[in-house]
Amino acid sequence: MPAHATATSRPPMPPERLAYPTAIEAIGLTKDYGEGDGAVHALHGVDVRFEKGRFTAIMGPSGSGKSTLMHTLAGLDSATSGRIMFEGRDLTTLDDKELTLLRRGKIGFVFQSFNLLPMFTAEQNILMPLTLAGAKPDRAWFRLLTATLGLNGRLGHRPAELSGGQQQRVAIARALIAKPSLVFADEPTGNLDSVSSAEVLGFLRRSVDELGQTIVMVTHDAVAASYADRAIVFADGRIIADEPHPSVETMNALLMAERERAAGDRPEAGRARHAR
Amino acid sequence: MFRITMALMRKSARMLVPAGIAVLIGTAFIACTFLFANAMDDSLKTQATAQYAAADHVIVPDRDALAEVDDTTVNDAYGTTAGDLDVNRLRAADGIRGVRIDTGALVEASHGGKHATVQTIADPGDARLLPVDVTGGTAPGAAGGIALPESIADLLDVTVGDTVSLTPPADAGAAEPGGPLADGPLKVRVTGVTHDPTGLFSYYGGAGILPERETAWFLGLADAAALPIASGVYLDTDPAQRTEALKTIRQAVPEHYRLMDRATVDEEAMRAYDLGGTSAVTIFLMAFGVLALLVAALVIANTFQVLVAQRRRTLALLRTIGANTGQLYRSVVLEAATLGVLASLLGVAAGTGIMALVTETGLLESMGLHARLVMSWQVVAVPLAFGTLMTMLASLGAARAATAVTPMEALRPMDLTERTRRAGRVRGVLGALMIVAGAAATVAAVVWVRRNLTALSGSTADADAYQLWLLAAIAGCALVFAGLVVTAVFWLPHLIKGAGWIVSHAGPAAVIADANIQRNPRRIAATGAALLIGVTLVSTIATGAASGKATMTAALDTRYSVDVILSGPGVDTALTDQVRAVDGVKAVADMSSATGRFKDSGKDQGVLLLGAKNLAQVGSVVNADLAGARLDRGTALFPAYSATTGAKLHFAGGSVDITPDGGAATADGADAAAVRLAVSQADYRRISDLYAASAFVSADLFVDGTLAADGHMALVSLERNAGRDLSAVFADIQSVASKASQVTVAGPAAERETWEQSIDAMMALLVALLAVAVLIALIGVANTLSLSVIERTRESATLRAIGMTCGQLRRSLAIEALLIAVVSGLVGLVAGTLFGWAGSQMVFSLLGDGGVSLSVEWGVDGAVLAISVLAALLASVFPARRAVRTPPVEALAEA
Repeated sequence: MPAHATATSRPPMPPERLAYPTAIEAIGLTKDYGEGDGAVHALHGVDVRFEKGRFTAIMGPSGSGKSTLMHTLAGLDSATSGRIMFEGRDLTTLDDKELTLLRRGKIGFVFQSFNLLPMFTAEQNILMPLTLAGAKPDRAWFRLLTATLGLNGRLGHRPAELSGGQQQRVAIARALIAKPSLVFADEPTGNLDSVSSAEVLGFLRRSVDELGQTIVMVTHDAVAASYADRAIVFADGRIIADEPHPSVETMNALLMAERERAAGDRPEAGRARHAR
Repeated sequence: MFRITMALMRKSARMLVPAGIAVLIGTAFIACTFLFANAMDDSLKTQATAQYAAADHVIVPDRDALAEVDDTTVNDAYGTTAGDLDVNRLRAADGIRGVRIDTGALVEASHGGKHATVQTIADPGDARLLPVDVTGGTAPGAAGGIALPESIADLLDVTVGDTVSLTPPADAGAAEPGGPLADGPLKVRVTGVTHDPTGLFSYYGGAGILPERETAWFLGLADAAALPIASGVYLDTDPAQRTEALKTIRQAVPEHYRLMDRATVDEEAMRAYDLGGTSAVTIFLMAFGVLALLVAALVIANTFQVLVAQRRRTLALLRTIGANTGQLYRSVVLEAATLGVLASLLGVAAGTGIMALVTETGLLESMGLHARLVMSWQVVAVPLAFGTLMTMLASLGAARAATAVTPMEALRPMDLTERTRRAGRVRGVLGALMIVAGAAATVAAVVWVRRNLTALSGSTADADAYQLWLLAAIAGCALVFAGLVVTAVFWLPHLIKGAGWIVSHAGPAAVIADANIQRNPRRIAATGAALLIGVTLVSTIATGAASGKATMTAALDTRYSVDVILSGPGVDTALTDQVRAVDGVKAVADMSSATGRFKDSGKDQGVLLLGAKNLAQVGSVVNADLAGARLDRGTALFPAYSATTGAKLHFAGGSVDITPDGGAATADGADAAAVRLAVSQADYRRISDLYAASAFVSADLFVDGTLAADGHMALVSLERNAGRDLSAVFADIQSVASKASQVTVAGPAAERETWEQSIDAMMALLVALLAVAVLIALIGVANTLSLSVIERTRESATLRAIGMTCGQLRRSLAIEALLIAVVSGLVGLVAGTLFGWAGSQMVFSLLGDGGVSLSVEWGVDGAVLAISVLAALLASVFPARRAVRTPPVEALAEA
């Protein structure tokens, strides 16, 4: 039985008084892999709404379906059923070309392993979505981004000549260059040390606060989630918690609770619990 | 390790396929080469002994004995006749089933207005001794008649039972007065049709069978007893009574002749043909096979390099669990060996299949070659050895790279793209030296030839020097070529980069393509070099052929000023009208002709006078510069040079006295009155070889009786560049003329036709052989693209994630392929043209006194470029499909 645990102390928001408009919404989103007995149900009829101008984190243990949710929302993967409403259109009805064009201009990406193109300089990498569109870059916006992300001076370098943190910042700039409506970040600090992680998370926070971006970040790290305005906890393809103003402690507690619940379903693990 | 290697190989099977195909093609080619050589040997061997048919003994002149006697005896010996041998007694003897005298006459057979020349053999009376098969009807036998070859029967439109007229061939001279052929053609019945299974008589289009008596007549002899036996007498004896028969035969063998049994005869025939060894043709063809395999080696090397790079993780894992570098090295080489063996075996099978198809469908039969599929151990062993060895050698570089994998890489995610090593400095210096030295040698040779052009037809010293310089030029070109290929890794990537930069302005797909091209210069250079080799060689040959043809045409034009000349009593207005109607004929001038004599510098010379309407008519058929020349009633147009001596013709006072031949003698017996005409000269040549000059006079001179015409000549000029082959037009004119009698068709068009055909045939053959290498090179382009796509899976997915459409991705791959193919192709064409020019300069300057025409064979060059472009586009299709098929999600999945 799905347990949609609502936040502990927040009254439900009446629909006509939404403080933040919707950036993207998933309705009854289901994703299955494989068929028959071996089928994997990655998403179980997920309903979720992400708000514009806010930094939202999707948290959960490995295999919870959080990355699948993001990939599906972004149109990188197809959904088995359900709808995804973005700027008045249902993404599940669009074909590959239309989705590609969407990713070019309206949706930005930041990946865990940076995924910069090694044969281009940092500047060329940042401008790549516009190059693909054949569009001229907005130089003022470009300068603002590079200044905000602290990349001046490294623009002519190839990715091989940049540190992990710098590469990820280049990736963030690339995600933002086309002024997208929405940015997805998949474990952006996964391959970074703590100092760079803090830098990157700080920049993400600033892009929301100063540049008005909307960011949806998938992470398994409670520290990263604490930078967000809202944290959604995922487990077994479902949302099990929706936490406004997440802090490290609350998020860790939520994760631990989920782990114990999962362990409680199995008697052997239960013995371990009793042993504690 | 073996099992592991096989497992790895199975996993990467798809990547190995293009490399395998390359080896397959190369080995198939080599297998075909050997099969072809075997077939030729077999064909020659069959032909060498075909004439003996089923004979088991042979009587031939004893050459060794005859070498020791005087000429009169030799002549006598060769004059031995059938009567001397007492052939009829032999035939009647016990145990002798048949005797064939190897002799035959050439006859002209006519039926229904059609004529054909037939080579006949004397009927031995015993079908077993016939070297041809009688497929319809029978051999003439006692009743007389003739059996015609199938092709002649078709040509004359006769069947068994029809009657044909036989006459001695046109150039045989008059028949013996009083002889059986003196009264006119011999009418005989067609008794049968023959088929020539071994191609022994393919030159004549088959052989007919004529009884011995008629054969003697056509040979100008009185009867069959006079038939000469010097070419051989073949005996068919009954095995049961052989000893007796041999006794009789031995008694009959004439002096200076010997009896041989069939086995000895076969042996001697084979030895004469020097069969069984590796002939020059085989080696020549093998060279192309080796070239194809060399190109394949480049493809294989590329493939294995990427294979190893892809497998770094797995290899590192193997190292962590205990494999040492030697095992990894051997694993790669083993994989290459397995691939080599499999591909080579398939190649041998493919080659055998192709050859079987060719021999079965009679493709070669139509060319007059009788070939069978003959297997030998070389057909299998050599391609197998070569192919496997080549594959293994090509993989050594990758094997060495495999040993550089450290166990640490199993734990740390590795960047999949290969780090590119800078090509060795030594290689660059060596290559540059080769190019410089080669270029210097070639240029020096060309300069020497040009300077010594006129002296070349002179002394032997010059001929030796020429040989040396020719060798120098060839070596020079080869060095430059090799140097280019060796240094390709340096300059080819730059060229492609430059081309990429130009193209990159054409849109985002081009930007991506340009960036990708620069990433692995070595691989791009290797791929481009493979294509370069093939294209350069094709272009060299095509350019050489074009220059050769152009030079030949120019040389012929200066030496022969008229394209086609029809002469003889049969030339009349009706014929000239028909010739004029032939497609490709520009103009026909029907001129009355007369001969005469004139004085050139005091010497009496012959002149052929042709009556032309006006100068314009002459200009329409004579390829010469007639500016400033005059032709009218009082002026004759003479050539500048004498046709017989080559010296300039001088006419004192600008006029000439021509004494016509065959004019009515004057009353006092002196020659007919000389005609004095003013002389205008122009440089045209060789309308007729028989006269010092062929001059044009006004036709009015014939009309008013000043000159009496003793014949007609039709001068024909052909359309150049009108789309029709000159040789085809010439052939049409010949067929028109053959319908009339007593018309001779001559002219440089015939020579040019033969030349152009030979050059075209040679070029076609060489280009076809090289096409194999070019094909492999194009497979290499496809292979490189596939490998690149596999390497770039993650990047392609990233690009698609940030907004690159599938169409853009496909376009970028197509542009990459095009850049490699077009740049390499263009460089190859340029290099090939230069080599071709150098070669033409060296070889053809011997022919053209006016210098060598250097032309570009746009046709072949254009075709090669077009094929490269098409193939490049095609090559990008499959890799592009693979690239877009992978969903970005999979590719971006965290390792």
